[in-house]
Amino acid sequence: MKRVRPPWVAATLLWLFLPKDEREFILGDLEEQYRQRSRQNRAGAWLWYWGQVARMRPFSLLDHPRPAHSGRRGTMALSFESFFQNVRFALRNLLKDRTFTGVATLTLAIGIGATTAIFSVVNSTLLRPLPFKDPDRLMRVSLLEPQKPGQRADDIRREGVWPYPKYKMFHELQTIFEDEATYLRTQFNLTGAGEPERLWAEIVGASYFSVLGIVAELGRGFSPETDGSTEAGLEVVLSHGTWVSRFGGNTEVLGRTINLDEIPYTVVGVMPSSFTGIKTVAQLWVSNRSLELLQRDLYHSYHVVARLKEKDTYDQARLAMRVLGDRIDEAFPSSEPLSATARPLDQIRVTQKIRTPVLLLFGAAGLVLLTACINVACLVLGRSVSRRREIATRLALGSGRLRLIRQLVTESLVLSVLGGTLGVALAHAGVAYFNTLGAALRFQMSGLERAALSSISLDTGTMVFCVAVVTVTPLLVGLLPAVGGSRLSLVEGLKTGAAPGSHKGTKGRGGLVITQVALAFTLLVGSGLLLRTIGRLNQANIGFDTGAMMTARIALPSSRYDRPASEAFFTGLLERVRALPGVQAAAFINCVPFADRCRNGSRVATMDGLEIEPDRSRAIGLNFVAPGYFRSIGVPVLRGRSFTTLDGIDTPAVVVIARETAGWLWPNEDPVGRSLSLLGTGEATVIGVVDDVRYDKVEELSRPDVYVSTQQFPRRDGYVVTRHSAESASHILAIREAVHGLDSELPLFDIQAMTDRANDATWRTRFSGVLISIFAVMTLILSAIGIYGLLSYSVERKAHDIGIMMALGATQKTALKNVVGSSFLFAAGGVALGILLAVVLTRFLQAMLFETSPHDPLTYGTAALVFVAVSLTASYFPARRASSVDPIEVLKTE
Amino acid sequence: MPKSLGEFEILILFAIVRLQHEAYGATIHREIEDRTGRSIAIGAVYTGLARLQRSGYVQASIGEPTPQRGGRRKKYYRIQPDGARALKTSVQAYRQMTAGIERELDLVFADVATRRNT
Repeated sequence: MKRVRPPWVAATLLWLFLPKDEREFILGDLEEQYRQRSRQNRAGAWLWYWGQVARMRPFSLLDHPRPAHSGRRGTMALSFESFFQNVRFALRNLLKDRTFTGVATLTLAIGIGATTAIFSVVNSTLLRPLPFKDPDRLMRVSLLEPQKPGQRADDIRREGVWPYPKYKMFHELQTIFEDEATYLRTQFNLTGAGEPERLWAEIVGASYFSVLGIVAELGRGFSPETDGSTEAGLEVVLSHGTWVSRFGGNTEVLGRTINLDEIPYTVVGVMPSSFTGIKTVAQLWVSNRSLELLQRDLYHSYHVVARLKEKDTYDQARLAMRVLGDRIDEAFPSSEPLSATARPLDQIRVTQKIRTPVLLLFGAAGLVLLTACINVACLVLGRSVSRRREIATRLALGSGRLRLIRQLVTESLVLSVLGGTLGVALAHAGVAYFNTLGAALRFQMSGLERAALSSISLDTGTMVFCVAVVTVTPLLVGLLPAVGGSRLSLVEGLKTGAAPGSHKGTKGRGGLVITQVALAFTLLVGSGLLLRTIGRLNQANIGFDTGAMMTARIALPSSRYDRPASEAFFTGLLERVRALPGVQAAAFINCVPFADRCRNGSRVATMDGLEIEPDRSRAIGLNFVAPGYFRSIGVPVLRGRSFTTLDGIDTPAVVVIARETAGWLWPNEDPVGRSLSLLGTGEATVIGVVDDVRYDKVEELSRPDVYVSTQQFPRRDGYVVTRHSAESASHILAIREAVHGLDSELPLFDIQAMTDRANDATWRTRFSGVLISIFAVMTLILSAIGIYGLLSYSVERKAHDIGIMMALGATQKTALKNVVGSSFLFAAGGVALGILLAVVLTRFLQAMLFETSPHDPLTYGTAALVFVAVSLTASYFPARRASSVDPIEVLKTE
Repeated sequence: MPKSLGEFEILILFAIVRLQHEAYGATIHREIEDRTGRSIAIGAVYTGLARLQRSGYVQASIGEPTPQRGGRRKKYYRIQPDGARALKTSVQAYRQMTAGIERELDLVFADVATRRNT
């Protein structure tokens, strides 16, 4: 016999609300009838069941016996029908008091929305498992670099890349991993499919996709057998984003041919949108086979990702790698013995630079939630206390205490539903904003970071938690007066309109308000510190003026440009660009300041013909510039001269050094005329010294710089930098035209105004600053409301006393001063507590501050003044109310 | 003097008398619905039964579980002497009220019927 079960939701509701003794029998009867009815009409039976539940009056079964002539409608009966009535009544009540409802709803919404949105970010960047199969089995395997002073042995920055011969040895000898694959990042010029474009790519081993366990969304990845090439030629796999933006998401894309750096590739697959590479934000993947065909200089920097076998642990992997690393060191005695290690992939998903602000924001959001709860508690408490008279009257007229409690509970629930709905909407908006932000940020992010930041989804777990928290708070707080108040003498309540014991309520509320102020103060201080930091960053001396400066990158394909041709190209381009209207100066550098990790580095090998001792040696930044660079950028030449067109291929090699380099190599001497050589190069003469430029970070100089001329050392890949007389969007069009005038197949990419680059370099600080400021303003408003609410309640309550005072001769001014005075006390108390809190908590902010102390007195002082202003504003209306108390009126109502 | 019964309680007692040994929540409910043609909330039946029980007019006993009830037991109700007396009082009251006016009642009913037809 098919099991026909009555609607379980209805049955559960009944089960919850029926008295224990009767539950079984009533439910049994209902089920029996349900089956009978459902034999004729299933839907009808379902409706009937629900109808019975709605009309059920569970609590009437507990009633005392009533006179037989009483009707069906009892004042004490509860049915689910009356629950809906209650809801309607509660809504009407809430809408009558629009200020309270509006403020409370908004407060709840802010608390829920902010916390949920931020936690969704935390979840997606730090907690959610990576989009690979069994991601906890994946590890990154690295060779170790020398330990720098102050670094721990297991510092992640020691982990470096593999030169190919060493990787080969690892590949042949390793046994600890089930499978492994290489990956490295590069860029290609994409031609043969619309506008030429420069794309980021990963060059990967054939088993890369299978190691990660990623299944292609369309087509396939590379297979170990064919290793990315077939008789048809070389294969390429596209990312989802590239597929959509370049090929319109057309499923016919498989089998199409595209040209990467002039070499044809066939599209064999498209990866899902959740995966955008590990090292870089990859827009496509090609296999190692391609490397043989490309003649590039960088390919001794492989990364390795590996999958651990089922039963093995991370420690075993690390140990195995240490042993293997030592063997490799033995086989390659010419390089430093350093060994190797392995690290779970999860630990490299986001760098510390993202982790810190994210956790910080999470803490801030938590404070906002706390403030919101406190605020709601205050509001509800204040409201229910001011309704004491109403409650007392109703109790006196015979309304059951239970019924009153039910009503207050319903009101709290309705409020929570309103606030919760708005909060969910806010959280959605917040998450959407974070997603677009994550997608818009362009650089200094690994593929895993980008994937994390652009696929943030609303975390239901957090939402439920927040909703629960903000539901319980008003519930608890709203019930207190109902439960407590109904025990007190009703007569008293009716007489004075304020029950005794409410004095304690004021103290409690006062404490809550002070806590709110303290929390808001802390956030305000944090926000102030960050804003100051941003200000300092804006003023930081990076060594040049970023105004009206445009930058764009060009990469010449090696198949068509050798070194002389590259030099000729850029020289010709600069000439053309300088002739454009509005262009004040144009220059070339291989890597502009704050650009995406294109910087070359090296070491000074000899000075004046003598070798440098290894412990004196520092890493330097090596910059390739065209003549006229320093003038265009606005970097002063301090000594000697800069490059000219006369420094060419046939003339002796020359270098220009930065001030820091000069101070390091030849302190207190004139470096002009001296000579130095770098690793792998010959001697060059120093012809000039220029001022320092901060190429990598806004906050500080990262390395001493050495400049060489592109006339002597041509580059195929670099940036055209232009200074204009005014900002304009059309500049870049003109530049692009100039480029295409020389070569129509060249893409111009990484186009950005210099000011934007500098700002982006500090985006983390700015972003955090903006968000925390928003939070600070929110909590400021909330605490102002808290103060206002408490003051106006207090004035209401003391209206009587104020009246007496004034009848005895006190002036209006005194009453006013009283109110303002107590407001000030609240603010002062809150600020004092807040200072303690802030001193402790701003420690966490320290990593993001620049030239600002976490205990900066100016910030603390300003925040304190803000609160004084806030307290004065919040007290305005209650103060006016107090001073306009008419003593006669008040005394009359005795 | 026993308390006078409400209208609904009278219906419940009638049903219990009719159903004899088969009187429990579901059957009582069904019986009243069928015979009066009204749609009754089962909650009202239980409320009435609870009151009758408290007044001592009916007594409950627990029965066996059955699969139609999802394995739950039934609660049977039997009318008690006090209940029977109360019921008899109520029935007698009705009898007194309607004694000798069957003819007038019929006329009223017929009148209503003709009104409906026109």
